Amino acid sequence: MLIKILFNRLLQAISMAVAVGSLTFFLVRSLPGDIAYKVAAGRYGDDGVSTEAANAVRAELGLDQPIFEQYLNWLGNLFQFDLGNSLVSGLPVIDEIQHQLGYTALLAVCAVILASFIAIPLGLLAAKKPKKVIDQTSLYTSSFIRAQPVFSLGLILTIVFAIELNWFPVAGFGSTEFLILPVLTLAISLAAVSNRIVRDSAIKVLNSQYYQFAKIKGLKEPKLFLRHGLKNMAIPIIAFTGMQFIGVIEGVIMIESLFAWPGIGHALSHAVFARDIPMLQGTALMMGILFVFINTLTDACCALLDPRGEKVKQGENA
Amino acid sequence: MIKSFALSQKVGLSILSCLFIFAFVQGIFDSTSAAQQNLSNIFSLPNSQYLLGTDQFGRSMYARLGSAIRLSFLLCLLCVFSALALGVSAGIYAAWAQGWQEKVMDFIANTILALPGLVLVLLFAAIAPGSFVVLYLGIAITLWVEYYRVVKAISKSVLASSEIEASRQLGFNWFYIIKRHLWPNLQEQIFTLASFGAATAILTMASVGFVYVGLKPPTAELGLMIVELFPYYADAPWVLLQPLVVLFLLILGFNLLAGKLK
Amino acid sequence: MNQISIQDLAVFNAGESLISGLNFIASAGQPVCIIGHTGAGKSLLANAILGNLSTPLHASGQVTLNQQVFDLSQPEQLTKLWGKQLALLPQEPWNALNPLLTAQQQVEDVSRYVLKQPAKQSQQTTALALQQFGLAEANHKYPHQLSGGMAQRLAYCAATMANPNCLLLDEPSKGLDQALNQKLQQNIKQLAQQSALIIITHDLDLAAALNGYLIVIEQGQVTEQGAASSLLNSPRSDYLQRLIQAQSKNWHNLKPELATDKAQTELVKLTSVNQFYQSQHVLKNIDLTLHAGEIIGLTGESGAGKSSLGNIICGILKPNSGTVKFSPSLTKTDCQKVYQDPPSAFANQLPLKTLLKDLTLLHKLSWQKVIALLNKLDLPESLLERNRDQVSGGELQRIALLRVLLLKPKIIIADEAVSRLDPINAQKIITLLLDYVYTEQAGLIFISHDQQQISKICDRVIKL
Repeated sequence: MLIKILFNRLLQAISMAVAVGSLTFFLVRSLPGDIAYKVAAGRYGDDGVSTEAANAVRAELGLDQPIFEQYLNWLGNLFQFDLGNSLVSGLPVIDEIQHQLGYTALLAVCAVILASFIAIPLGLLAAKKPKKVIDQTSLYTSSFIRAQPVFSLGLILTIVFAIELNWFPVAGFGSTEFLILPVLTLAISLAAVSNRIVRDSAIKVLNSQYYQFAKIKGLKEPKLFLRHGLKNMAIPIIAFTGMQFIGVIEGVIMIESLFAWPGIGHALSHAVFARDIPMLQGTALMMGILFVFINTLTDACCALLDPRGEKVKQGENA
Repeated sequence: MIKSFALSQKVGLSILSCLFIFAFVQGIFDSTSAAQQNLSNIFSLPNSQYLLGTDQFGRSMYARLGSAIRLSFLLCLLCVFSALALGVSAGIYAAWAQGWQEKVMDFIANTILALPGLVLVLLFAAIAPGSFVVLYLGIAITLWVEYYRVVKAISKSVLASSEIEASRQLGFNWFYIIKRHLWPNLQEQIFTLASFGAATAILTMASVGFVYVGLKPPTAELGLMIVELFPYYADAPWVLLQPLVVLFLLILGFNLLAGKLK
Repeated sequence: MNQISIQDLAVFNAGESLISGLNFIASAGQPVCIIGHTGAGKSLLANAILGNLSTPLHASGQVTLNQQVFDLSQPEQLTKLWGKQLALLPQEPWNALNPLLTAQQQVEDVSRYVLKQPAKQSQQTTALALQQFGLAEANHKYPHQLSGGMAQRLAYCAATMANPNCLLLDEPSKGLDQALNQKLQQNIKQLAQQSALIIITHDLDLAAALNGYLIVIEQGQVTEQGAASSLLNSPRSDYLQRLIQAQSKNWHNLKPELATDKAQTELVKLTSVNQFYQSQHVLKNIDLTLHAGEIIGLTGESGAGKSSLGNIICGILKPNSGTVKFSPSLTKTDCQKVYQDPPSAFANQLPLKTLLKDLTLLHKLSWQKVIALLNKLDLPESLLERNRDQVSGGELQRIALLRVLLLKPKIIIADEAVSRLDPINAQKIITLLLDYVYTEQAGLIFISHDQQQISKICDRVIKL
């Protein structure tokens, strides 16, 4: 079971890597015009493009070789984790990414923890009395927040807490206070979705026939909840967390750009802007691998917790 | 169909209708262009000429919002319909054929799923900056997988049931099975996915606009407008507020319209 | 001695009365069986007595359990009794088991946490209890690894672990085949000696076997009650009379006195058919010929390949080896099947009328034929406006039969076609099927696990 999950996920990661590699490789080369000029233009600005600059780029990217050979080289390098050098800074992509990953991990981990602290108690409270005040309030608030793009949410928080109240700095990094707004933004946007998932999952378990039967068997709280509620609720929630990492990664890209947080998301959007292709490929790959890795973890957790295997997961996350 | 809508879905539909009417009334009756600058009249308050005031270049916010909403609707319609057509047909085909055809399509879908949508769209955006078509392609490619997975899962369970066996034995062909057995079970889910997909498409376009790698100025695009107006927050908060609110309403509208995912 | 008495029990939905005026006493050695239509509110009863109704449902009346008196309109008092004094075996007990706990853990819930036995002792008593229910090997298995019968026994074991003074059983025999039913009856009988049992059922065999007190409920009212033995011998209420007549052991021989010189037209001939299912060899060298006007019964344990053989005979399934020869005059639609679970044979989102219209259009039949059959099958036309899930099982099965008969098939496979229906509806369906088979000289494969039914209607029986 576990082996199968790992194998499938590994396969997925490899196919994703090949796809990202191929996509960046072929689409860049299939564009009209001289790619070297385009890259150079991206790097030095349209006015700064000279033939020498273009030739330098050509040599750097190996653009003078036959295309098929270029492609194989490209993929070959990819699997040796040789992601090339950044066209902007000239440093090896892998080093830059390692550096940025730490910042992103800090942001993401803090946000996920904070989001759990908001979402789990709120979801359980709402589930205790469905359709009553707490449940309805959380429904409306969640819908409101979910309709905000994460960058709008970040802007609003910045305006309120940084510009108007002047409690936290607007952007950048350094001390802890720089961390607060980005983490808060990401956590709120995550919690807005997951508190409803917790609620739905809890209601499903609390209304289930086996929970009822456990009560009738004579079990009392808190034993009842610990034995028949907790684990059963956790499985769909964990499965959902894996899916929610799409939100974390997309959120990280936007939030890091907004708050100028020197993480991998910022690097990605910057690489797109500067058309720094090695960096672009590296950051995209890293995010893909992270995402697959997290999903592997959640799959494994579910498989370990749930004797029935994977099938319950289907359709329960939404 | 509208009759069976829940209240929240009706609210969503109303919000979207209002935005739609706003954008098209502007397009038909308002002669000012979204790109026309008037540097002597920046950040003017709403008046009879500029119903919603002007931005940092003195452009009419009314015209720009109208144009941005039309663009958003256009993009989400294109993306949703392409993704829906591809995802639904691929899903039904895979469920029907099973075997290697299903495996191949699962493989493709899994590969795409391994990348968060925004990352994939950014990759596309890098390749041809400012291109609407590339943006559309990128978003449509990320969206179809969801239809594929949902449609395949539902179709598989329906196709394996006795009702299909019974219908075949009664002499009905594959077209009938799609029409009477599959489609009725799929339509609600597809509608929900389409609504959420529309919201995702709009959100994604705004997101890439916001990090300056989407459509290029002077296009009126919501994300781009927000990021351009943000530095002028102190001068003209009401102008910044306009694209924020419109984007919020668009996404809220589609989220509400989607109803509850079962 | 354990005794529970119910006085003036009534159940309301908001203001509307669903059940009223129920009085009875159940005690050890004197169990009470409550019998009534499906949908007569029987299941509410169990929950009302337990104090487990959820709003807007609520109850009134009084329960006296071993001299303690409780008011049913204040159910909180009753919840304190759950486990040691009052217990329930719910309907479809396999859904009542926590999918994430092993058999042992589900029983230890009671021994460890309700009876507060120390860990070691609780393990021993649990193991012993599981053994008594024939579940010794299921100790560490999860519910999804258990068969339906085992799951039921496990739920039963957990419900009775604390030796409750009073036990309620809600349709205990529903969905079990005959062999399991026998075992269940024994278990219940044994338990009836020490606990006060209240059993909600429409299984008259069970009621007769327990030989306690019988209460018949119709439309929320008691229509008759008394000692089971006397009531079953001389039923007064119309419902009980019909129910007794519809039991398959009481059927008259339904086979008409037909001349044996019927033309021996072969409809389908199977020679040395073999079939594998999930690498198991289920059908071994089957030779079988079905003639016009002939009824063959197929019986056997679940998993013995009854359905596979049925599917092969009607051409849905190609056997792994062997030959199936259909009479050349047969077309594909000449072989039809009636399914065990009526709703599963209809598209779920459309009114039945649309589905039947589709069929008449496809085969260019006149709608009048549908109307004629509806009358014959005793079905109101208005029923067709509904979807499959809005029609009762018995009616829907008749509509399924109607749909099949419209095509005038030559071979009909009835795959457990009546096993989910109550006896009255089952009898109706079988009468209609037989009528068709004899008048149209069709062949019928009747798959069932009910020996009585098969012996009453089939020309010959194949046991797999």
